[in-house]
Amino acid sequence: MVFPLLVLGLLSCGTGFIPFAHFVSIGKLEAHSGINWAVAIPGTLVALLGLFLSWYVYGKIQGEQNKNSEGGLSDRIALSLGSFYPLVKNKFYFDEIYLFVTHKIIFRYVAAPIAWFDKRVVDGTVDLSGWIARKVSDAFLSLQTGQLQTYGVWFVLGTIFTLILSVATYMSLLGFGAYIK
Amino acid sequence: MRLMAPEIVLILTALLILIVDFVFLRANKKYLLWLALTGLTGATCFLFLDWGLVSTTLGGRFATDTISSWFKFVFLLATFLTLSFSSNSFESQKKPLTHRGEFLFVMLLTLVVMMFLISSRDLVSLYVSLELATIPLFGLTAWERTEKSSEAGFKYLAIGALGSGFLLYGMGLLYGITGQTDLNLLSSGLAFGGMMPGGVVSEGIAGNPATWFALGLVMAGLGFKLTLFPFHMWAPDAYDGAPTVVTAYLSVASKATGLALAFLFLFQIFSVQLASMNTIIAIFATATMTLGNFAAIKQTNLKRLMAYSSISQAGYLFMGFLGRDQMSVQAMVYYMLVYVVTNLALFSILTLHIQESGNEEVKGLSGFSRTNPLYAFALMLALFGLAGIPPLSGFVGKFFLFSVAAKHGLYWLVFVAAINSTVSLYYYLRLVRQMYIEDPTPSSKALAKQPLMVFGLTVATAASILIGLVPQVYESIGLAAQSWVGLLGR
Amino acid sequence: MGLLSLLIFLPLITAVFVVAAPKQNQVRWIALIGTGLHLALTALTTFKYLTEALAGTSSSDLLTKLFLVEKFDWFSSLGIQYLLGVDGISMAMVILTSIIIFTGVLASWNVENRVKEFFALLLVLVTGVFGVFLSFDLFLFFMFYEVAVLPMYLLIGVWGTGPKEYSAMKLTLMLMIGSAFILVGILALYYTAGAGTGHYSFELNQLAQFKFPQVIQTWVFPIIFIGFGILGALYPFHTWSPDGHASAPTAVSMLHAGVLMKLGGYGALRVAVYLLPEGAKEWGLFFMALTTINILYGAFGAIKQKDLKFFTAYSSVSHCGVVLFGVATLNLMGFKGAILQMFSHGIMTGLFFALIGMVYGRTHTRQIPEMGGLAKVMPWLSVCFYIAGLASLGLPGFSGFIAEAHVFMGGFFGNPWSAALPGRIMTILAAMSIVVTAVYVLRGLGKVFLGPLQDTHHAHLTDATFTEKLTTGILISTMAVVGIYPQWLIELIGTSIYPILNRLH
Repeated sequence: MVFPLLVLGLLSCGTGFIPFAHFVSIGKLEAHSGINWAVAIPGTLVALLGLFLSWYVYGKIQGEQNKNSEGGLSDRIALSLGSFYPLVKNKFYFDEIYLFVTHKIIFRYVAAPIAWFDKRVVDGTVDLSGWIARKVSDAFLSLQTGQLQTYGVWFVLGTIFTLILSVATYMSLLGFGAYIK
Repeated sequence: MRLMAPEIVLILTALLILIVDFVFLRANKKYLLWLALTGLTGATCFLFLDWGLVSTTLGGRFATDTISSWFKFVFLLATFLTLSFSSNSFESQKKPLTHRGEFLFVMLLTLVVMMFLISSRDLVSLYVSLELATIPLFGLTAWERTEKSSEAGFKYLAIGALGSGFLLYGMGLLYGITGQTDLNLLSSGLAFGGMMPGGVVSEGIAGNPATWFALGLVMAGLGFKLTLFPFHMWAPDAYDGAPTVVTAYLSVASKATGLALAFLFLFQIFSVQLASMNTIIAIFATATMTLGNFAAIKQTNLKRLMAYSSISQAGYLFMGFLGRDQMSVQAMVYYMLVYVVTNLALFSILTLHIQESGNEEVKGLSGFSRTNPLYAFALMLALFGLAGIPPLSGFVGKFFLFSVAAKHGLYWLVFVAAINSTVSLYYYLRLVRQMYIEDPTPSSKALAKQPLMVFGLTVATAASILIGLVPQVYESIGLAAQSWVGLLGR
Repeated sequence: MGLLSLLIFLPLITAVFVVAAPKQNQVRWIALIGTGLHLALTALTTFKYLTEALAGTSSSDLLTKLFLVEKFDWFSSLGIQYLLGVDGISMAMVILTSIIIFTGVLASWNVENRVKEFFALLLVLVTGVFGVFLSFDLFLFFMFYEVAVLPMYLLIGVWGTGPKEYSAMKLTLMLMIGSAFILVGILALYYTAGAGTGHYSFELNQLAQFKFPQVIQTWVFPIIFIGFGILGALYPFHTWSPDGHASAPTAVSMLHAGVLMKLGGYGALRVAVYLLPEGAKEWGLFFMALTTINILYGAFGAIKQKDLKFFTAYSSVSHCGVVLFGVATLNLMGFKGAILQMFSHGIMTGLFFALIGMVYGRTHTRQIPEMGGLAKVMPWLSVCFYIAGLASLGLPGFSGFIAEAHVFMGGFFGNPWSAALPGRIMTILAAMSIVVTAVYVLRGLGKVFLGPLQDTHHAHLTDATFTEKLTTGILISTMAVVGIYPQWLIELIGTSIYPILNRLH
């Protein structure tokens, strides 16, 4: 593991100096090629500070004491942070928040209702239309009583209805004074 | 006389069959069938010889023209195809039909009179032809001589009497209004309102309310023959009780007769009034197709299912009367032809199946595709044709009929008809499902393939596919329609 | 026979050979050879098209330029013609279908029950699909459209699983109702144009030249759009899709989700937007909203599904929503994205369903809770599944990214006729679906493939066979090719979109 790290470390020391902007951009070079000191210096300082602090708290000098018991420097720092420390330790509970939001909220209150809605309501409407069609069919079939008298009555009623329709058409034509050839 | 050649040939054939049947009592009855088919072919040949000839005889009472030629062809084709599978019923081992000679005699005579009907140009001959064409059908329905069959025949007769009665009443009124029985003179009389009380001839179609009253009565008679709602109620029982061969014939020939009657009344006699009848026609068409399709959804008996199916087809057909032009005539004649071949293809297989299995239920078709793959395939094609699925001609036919409705701006009707078509797909698919998806019952067996029936079936199935793809049939009907409409519009 | 007619009818001819084959195990080879030939033919046609088209079209066209046209009068009294042609969009769709049917045949290698009828029906189905993509006469178009729907009933009803009769009937009837809508629309267009110009024709370009009155545009556009949308899984008419896909056998699902649902998007673009630009402008935002619901609804619905096929079906609803969303954006990027998404999702969903079929064939369960740790047992299939899943959430490098990028950018840019803000809000919402997709894909796949083996019976399952490797390989490489070098596809469809776009202006 060490050798790859060494190689990578060495390379990363030097690659910053390669002017990639020349090779990657199309046309004119953008104004912001090259290093931005305002960002680089504070960033590097903070990184070095972090390295030093962690070496100090967890490093060789304090290491023996930490391994043995409570009461090492890191534990004292943890205690002094108080209730803030568990928050940091659990990465600000981000993972728990994510899981909570997705499982309890989105899955339960969004996804599941949608799946239910689709199955029951939308699909249900389609099934309902099928049910209605079957009921209508039953109704129509029940008209066919098999009795001749029924048929006769329907026939006569039908004729009367047709006559009404017919005369109604005539009357509507009267209104237009039809002289159609 | 030459004009009536097809009809005369048929009459002679019918008489010959009867005589041969009496004289040669021991002979194989099959020869009678061949005799009938020969007569039919001969009549068709004569028809083709004088195809489209526009002429009259018998003092103008009998006329031929392009559309009458097509109708006669449809009638002849229907009878030919029906007879081709009739031997299923007559030569079956299980409860065959009897009295073949008389059956053929009656059927041929019905056919002859139907042909006379479309050629009638006089109220009296029209009515006589109509009655002569319908009454034998009552007898044919009761042919099985069982209780069920007789009941079916009787119901048909009773409702038929009602229909004829109203029709006659209407025709009487028409005579009273115009004083004419010749159809041409009648229609001109109606166009000008006819005679008012007091002997005054009035102008304008609104002149005489009696015209519209007569129209209403005539519609009752038409509705009976074309199985429009609410005059259709005889149909399910009649189709159910009749021998399946007769059911097949009823579903095509009776409907074609109804269409011919409607052509004569609506296009010829009431031609002027027809322009204002769109609402009435739309109402009847919608009611009929809706009733037919929805009732069929839950129907489990094959013959009753086909009855409702043909009621709904009449609904689609009736939409054609929304227009008075070439396109309407063309669409309706075309659809009639398509309907005849598709329905008869279907019935030829159903007849065989019902006769041999004795089972009239939809469930009886379970696994039909395993026991009889070719028959099942042909049946499926016929069902799809009725449902209006391309590339079968049923699709093309329905498309053109719907176009008539669209042309007159009744898009809601097109929509209703299209939805109805979808609903019909449901119950046709039910049959397909039984055949293809369900497993066969242990008792089902392969059905015999009789050469004549297979011939008829092949002709019908091929026609139901080709008529939709090859435009010549439609175009030639169009030309016929054009000249006919030209004749009408004086 | 012209090249395009051959493209359409080659599957039908193959079907005839399939039915005539004397032995059952020859059937799949015949089908494979037939579809393989078809792939070659498609490649040839693409080449021919590219050579002719790139010279012949320009970005200012107002009418779709058709190439390799075959034209015969059919029902001349009604102005119906047998009119075939190809433009970039059609070409892309034909390529998609060719690939899917070929891999579909491969994926159905192990069908045992009534093999002849199965392959014959598949081939008839695909004939209808090719016909739709290549017809430019509305009557012919509609006819092929119906031919493409009907065989589904038998395919699902006979060879499906689960409540197959119910699913098959629901699918068929709902799609037929869609056809009813389309029929009303087509007839309305035909008669209005005919009455206006005195010349009745069903030809697409003829109808395009007529400027339909606003009233007609307002009520016919939604009818036709919804009619096609029912097939394209437009909300709320998508309910046939979950049951249909779940019950269908593998190759049928591949064809259906991969190709047939694209007919909906294609028709919406080709007929509704092309012929009725004013109507499209009026209804654009409304349909954008519906499709946004589609995208999110499908994605959320997929999270809670326990059945792997339902899971994929909802995912398809979501992705097909992206297609229609692209169409509703009414700008160049959106249209391009819509067609790219049609192609990309077609391949991807074909891959998904093929894989599900392979897994199901081994574990005999589709329930996610019953499966786990399968990556140990079937590494090839797991990797393919993951690739498919990642492609579906739009991972760059695969075609899904290109397509969704175009669509969302198009949605964001908006169009000159609608308010920008609603469009942008909807685009943001739709883009969020990527996250939701990631959730259900990664969760679902994780549950099935990662972790310990759920069922010890699964320990002895085999990994992919050669045919399966071939199937998945072809599909994945297509996705990768389009993802890494989409230029060829974008150029293919590029100029063909201009006529549609120009008419909007």
